[in-house]
Amino acid sequence: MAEIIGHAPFALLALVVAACAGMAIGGGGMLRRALGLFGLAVGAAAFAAALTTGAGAGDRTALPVLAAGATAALVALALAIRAREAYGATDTATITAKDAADDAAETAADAAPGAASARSR
Amino acid sequence: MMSVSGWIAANPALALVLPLLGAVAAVLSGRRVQAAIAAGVALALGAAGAAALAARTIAEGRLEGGFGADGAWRYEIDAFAACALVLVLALAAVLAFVAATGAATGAATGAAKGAAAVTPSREAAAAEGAVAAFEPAAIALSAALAAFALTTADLVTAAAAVWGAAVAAVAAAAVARADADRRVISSAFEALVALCLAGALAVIGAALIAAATGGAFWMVREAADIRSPRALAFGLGLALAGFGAMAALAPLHTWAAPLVGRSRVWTPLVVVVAALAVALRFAGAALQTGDAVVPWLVCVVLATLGAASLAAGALQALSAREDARLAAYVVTGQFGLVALGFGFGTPEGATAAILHAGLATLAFGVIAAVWPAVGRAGFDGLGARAPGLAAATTAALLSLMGAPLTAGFAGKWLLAAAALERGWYWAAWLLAAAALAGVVYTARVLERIWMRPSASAAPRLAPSSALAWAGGIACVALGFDARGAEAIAHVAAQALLGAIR
Repeated sequence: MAEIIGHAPFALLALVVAACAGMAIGGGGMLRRALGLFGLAVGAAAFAAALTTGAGAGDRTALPVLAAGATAALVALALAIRAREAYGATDTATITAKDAADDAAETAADAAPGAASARSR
Repeated sequence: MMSVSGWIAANPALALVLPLLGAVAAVLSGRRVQAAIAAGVALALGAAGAAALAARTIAEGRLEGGFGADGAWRYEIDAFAACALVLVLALAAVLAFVAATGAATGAATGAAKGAAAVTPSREAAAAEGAVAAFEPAAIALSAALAAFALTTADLVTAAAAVWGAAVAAVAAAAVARADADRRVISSAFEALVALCLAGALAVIGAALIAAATGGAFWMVREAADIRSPRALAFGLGLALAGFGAMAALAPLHTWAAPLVGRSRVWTPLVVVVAALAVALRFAGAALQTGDAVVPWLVCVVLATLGAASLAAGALQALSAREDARLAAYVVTGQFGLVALGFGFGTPEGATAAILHAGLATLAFGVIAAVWPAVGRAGFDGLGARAPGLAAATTAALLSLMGAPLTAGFAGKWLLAAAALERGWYWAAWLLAAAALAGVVYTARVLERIWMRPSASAAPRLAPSSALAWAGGIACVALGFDARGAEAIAHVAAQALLGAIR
């Protein structure tokens, strides 16, 4: 395995990918997390290109990865914009709290007389 | 004159082009119903063509070729890939037809139940126009990318295509209901993050596999052909974990239930089936490598993911209080069974797993087609307001439970037999325990369908209703005689595992 990934560029790439993954998973704003997704896509594409160049595929393999990841980051960005509109915020803590309030409101609506079964939400 | 299906059998690229054309036609139509029908018809034609392709691969063996400058896109289609292509495109066609009616029903649900809807005017605007056309277009795009993943010979491109299909599916789910229930936005975002991490894992894993085998992974039959067995094992572990997460296998399935539960759309199922099929393609090739460790590792990873999914899916389904979440957990359990069966590492286990995957997809397709009729009242009183659809749902649920005289019985029976033959008695016991849990939650749903009064009016007939009835009949018919399906699964397993005994 050392002959394939045992040198410095791969270690650096792995660090970048891990940092971007942490940024995407971690709390904070949705915009920052979307940026993390973009970094993840770039890192994964670079990893794929570096690993497959020797296998004959080269940078051709990086393009689909970059396309998929960048599209994901754009969708995440669009969702962040919609979240700002719907929640008035994009930070995870506020959104989680408002989601919990919505859940409670829905449970109360289900419990009201005449409401459909809670199980059929 | 050559039929469309014959045309596709002769030109495999059309199986990808047709869904893409459906996506373009859906966007151009600009209205929900027309967009859904355009996408649905294109996907149905693609599925018919894929069936012809499957027949060709069964008769002639693996098809290989390339398109573009210097064969930039190389395809490699065996009987397994072609059968998986049929399932994915047919399922996507059903979901596209469901999109014609399903989202309108769903939009009413969230707003009426007090969840924070954005504005009624936005909902009205979303019912028509580009937003309305987006959901069917995204379904078609997701299916096209899934088809690409199943047919490409390039490992990294396959992983990237499943990643892209997952993004399109999440976007479709978000668009379908985000205006009616804002919680869809947050669950779609979390699902997107989880699927991107899974996609990155799969891509890096696939790149490692390519590097470890000099780009000839599909052809490795001797341990001597592997440049680095450790890198291959590590890459396979990463790739299978990534595909497993996209296939909603436990413990990496946590994105699925909130997304499906809140959006109430089944689009992610296309990705689940495609990711599982691509994972099995990778695993099948790994089992033939002739290395001492790699096949063992693949079996351990698949069996672990499968057993965890079977147990977690059954337990979570027992405690689920919402229909859509229950469905997501059942998906995890059923496809976990497929991973477990393949993890046996025997031709019998692979045949049973592939058969079960096909039959479970059929049953999920029926439930997805019935979904618009389920509506706000849920399954309560479905038998009173739509007896035909309730009967189809019953057949599908009994099939998923593995009841005798339904399609699902054959798959589960063969899986249990394969577990016993392999000597994995714990797997047979786990299967029996999950089946018992299945009896409990299926009985609960059936009680609600047939023994409760209906809280809403009879649903409108939709194109998806006919598909539900046809699927329900197939679930029963295959329960009486599944030999044809078993024979196809056997050929697909042979294509995956080659000469392994």
